[in-house]
Amino acid sequence: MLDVLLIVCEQAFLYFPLVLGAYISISLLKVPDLSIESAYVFGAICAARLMPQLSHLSLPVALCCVLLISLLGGLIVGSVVFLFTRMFHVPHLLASVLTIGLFHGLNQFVLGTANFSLSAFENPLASFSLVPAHPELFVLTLLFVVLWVFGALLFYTQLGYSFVIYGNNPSFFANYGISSKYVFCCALLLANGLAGLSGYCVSQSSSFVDIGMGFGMALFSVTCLILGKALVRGRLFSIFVPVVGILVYCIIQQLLLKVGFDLKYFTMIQSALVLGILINQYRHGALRKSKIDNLGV
Amino acid sequence: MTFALEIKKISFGFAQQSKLFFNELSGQFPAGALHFVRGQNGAGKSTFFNILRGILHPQESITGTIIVDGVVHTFDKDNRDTLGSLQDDVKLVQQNFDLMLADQLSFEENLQIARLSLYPGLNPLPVREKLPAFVERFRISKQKPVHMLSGGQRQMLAILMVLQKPTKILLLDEPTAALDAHNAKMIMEFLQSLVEESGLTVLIISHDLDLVEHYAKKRYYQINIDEVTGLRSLHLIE
Repeated sequence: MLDVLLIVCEQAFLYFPLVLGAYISISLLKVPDLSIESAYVFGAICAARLMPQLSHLSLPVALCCVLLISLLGGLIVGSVVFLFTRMFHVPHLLASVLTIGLFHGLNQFVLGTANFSLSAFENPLASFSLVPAHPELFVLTLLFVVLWVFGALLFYTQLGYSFVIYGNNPSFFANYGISSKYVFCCALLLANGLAGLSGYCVSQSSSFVDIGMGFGMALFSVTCLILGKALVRGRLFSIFVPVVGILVYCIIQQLLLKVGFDLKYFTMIQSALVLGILINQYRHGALRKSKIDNLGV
Repeated sequence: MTFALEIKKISFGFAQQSKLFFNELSGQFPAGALHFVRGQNGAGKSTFFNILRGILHPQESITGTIIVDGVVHTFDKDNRDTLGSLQDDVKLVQQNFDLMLADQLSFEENLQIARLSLYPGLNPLPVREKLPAFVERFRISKQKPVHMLSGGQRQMLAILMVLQKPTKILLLDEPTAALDAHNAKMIMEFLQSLVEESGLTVLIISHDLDLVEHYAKKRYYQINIDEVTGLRSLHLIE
């Protein structure tokens, strides 16, 4: 039981930055930010390419470097989407699709191969190992707590409120002399940066980077967010939505494994789960029809 | 008598070379009162408000003078520099006031976010300021999401939000057009209280003759269209 709990925590903490990022862009900003899939891969690839250069550094310093570079990788993807949408006025969904296409090629170019093993390098996530069976758990817990506190504080700041306002009524800003371009840019960079960070953590945990590892990450994030929204009531926006969402998702995943479910069919279950929750909420009026956005989250 | 707003011989065209749309509009609006400007649909009421706020496109032409609280803004073909500064003093609540609200947030949160800076940072929301005492009369729930309030209450909130930043003149574009009779009456009572207690100068633009004649105490302005030339002019009705 304890082992299952530790696995749930480890899995949840690995993906939490991605879900937090998706919460900011997809749920708060209400934009179809599929580019988090590219950011997730590009963050991992940037960190992987940096690994050989970090071998002479101590593990804690290397850890800070790879986390920073993966965040930066995600930021680059976010800034490309921002350029497409705000400078070239490409609709967001199309901008995301174009970005995915663009970075699919770029990822292959940067990585030089379809996948890249990290097992030849020391694992920076295992810098401070307290539980031998789960050497990455301490650093991941630390990262989870830091991001939780960061998210909780962010949603009480002017910037955090601006993200919510953007999703609620984008034309609000023009009436009060607030830069909507700035708000949109900050949210996109943050969301994609966090996705990049998560990409590195997951690739490090599985000891390899694959250019196809981002596939399905948008659906995964949306599933977690819908689960979180279905379970967390009260304040309109809360850090508990991504936290509860990812934890419940990982618990469900582990339960399915325990009963012998083949995880290769899990994407199908994900879609069915999302559909089930949404149909239930629509039927019981928990979601006002006029307020359902194009992603339902 | 002191005037909060004076306009003198304002002429306006939508393009530098095109014929004029407004021809030498002049008017005086005393401070601390509710004023009305009436005009039929297509008379250029919203364009008139845009001019008062200094919102003009580069191709548009304007000449004349606007005096706001003693500060003179004179425009000719070569001088449009001071137009932008009008926006600091003259604020507008547009006809579709819902576009000015974050309707999933509460009344109080909306008042706070109306004071956000150009680039919102990682600092907390601005401190809640005390509302004028008369607002309590309208029994607006401060905690419910704004979409749960009535149309009249949302209109009041939009007005209060605009007033969260220093304002000398408040412009209201058809404030009762989207409201039923009950809510329209409530808004007019609200505006009368606002003018009496805060001394603000409010200009309401409306096509509704009944509303204007009922609430305009002695006089109002009307935008007339010359049927032959199509020129718009401003007339004082007393």
